[in-house]
Amino acid sequence: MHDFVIVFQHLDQFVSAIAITVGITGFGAFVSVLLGSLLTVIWKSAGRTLAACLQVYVDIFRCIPFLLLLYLLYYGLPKAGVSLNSWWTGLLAIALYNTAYMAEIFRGAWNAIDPGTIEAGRAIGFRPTGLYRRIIFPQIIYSSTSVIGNQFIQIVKDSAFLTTISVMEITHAASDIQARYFVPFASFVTAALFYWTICKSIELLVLVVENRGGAYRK
Amino acid sequence: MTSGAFLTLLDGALVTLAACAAGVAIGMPLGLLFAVARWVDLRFFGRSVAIYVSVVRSTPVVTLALLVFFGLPSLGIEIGSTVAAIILLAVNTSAFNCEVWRSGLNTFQTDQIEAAKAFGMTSTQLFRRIIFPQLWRQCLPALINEVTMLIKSSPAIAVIGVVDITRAAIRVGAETYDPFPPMLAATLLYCVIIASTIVLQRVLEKRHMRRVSQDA
Repeated sequence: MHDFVIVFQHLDQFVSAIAITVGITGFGAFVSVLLGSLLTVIWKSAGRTLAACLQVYVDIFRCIPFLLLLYLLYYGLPKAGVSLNSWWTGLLAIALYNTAYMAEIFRGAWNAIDPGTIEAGRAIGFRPTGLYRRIIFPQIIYSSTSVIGNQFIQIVKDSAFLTTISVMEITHAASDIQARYFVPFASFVTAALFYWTICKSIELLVLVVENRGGAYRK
Repeated sequence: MTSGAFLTLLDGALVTLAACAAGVAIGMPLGLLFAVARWVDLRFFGRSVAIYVSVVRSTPVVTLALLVFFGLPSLGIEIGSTVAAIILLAVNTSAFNCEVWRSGLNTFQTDQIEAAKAFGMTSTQLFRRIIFPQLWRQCLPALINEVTMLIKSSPAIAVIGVVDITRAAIRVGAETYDPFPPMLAATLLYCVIIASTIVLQRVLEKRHMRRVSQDA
């Protein structure tokens, strides 16, 4: 029990670490949703060659462990003459990796949309931008809320790998405290509980959005 | 990259595959046990399993790896990095597989169970002859999907010092002072391994769908 007291004395370190984890995953999730939807729009209106290229990009990223992409960027970017600090490298890795996943999710949801709604939108005179904003994406977002939520949870969990490139996130804070006071069990259990809380909050958010989506459709 | 370096990576691939196989071999039956415990509604055990599954599923693999590797020895259980890696992968698999088995059990037709009971089958017979064979076929594609996810998160064992593909690539990089090429080769290796499990899953899924449509 004494170990947990030591860990709780360093709660401030955990608080800033939580801010970093939430910040980098939130920012990364936002960017990947944005780029993922852009990619989906291009994908759906592209010719056969471009669509095939996009499929290859998405498939390759779904076959790579996140840590490997992180290392490739971490070691590869300086070689290409780009120097980013570890925070931006981590963010870039999260965004690149999850854009592929988001595009795949959105594409699947798009294919499941009743084509009648899109035709009706066109018939009323919606231009493509209005069609995406008012007809297609609201349906995609509401029909795949839980899948998107699961991907967000995956991003939170992947963000722990950023400790290997010294981003000061939750796992890094736990490692730091355990190394200084040798309280490994208490510090990593505390970290796990923080992750659990974050993931539960995402699940809760998904429920809220889904309920609202239900009300919206009535 | 020299051929020696590539052999080091291949050795790492064997370690990755062996560790994942061991994790699945322990974690998959354990997950089934947990799922059954929740299904038959064993009160205290069932509830503890629910909490265990929820926490393990939301904890990053790296954090869990560090917890097992540093935490267990501090509680007086001496383990090396290999054992820690296998425990980690088994724990992770058991939690995710529990959910797969459970969703299979929840959709299981109750009239079959009633029929088996009417024939006088004991619950062990019921489980072995009626439930498990169907459950296994139904869950297999989803279980393979979990194997894919496990291999994708297995580089976490490199963090605690197991020389898997990732750690092998780091070593080669440290020797040649050029970490990028071995890392790229390692990524390709993972790509090949994971792509093959995905293909395997698709084949099994198709076979299952065919079987279901034949039954109907």
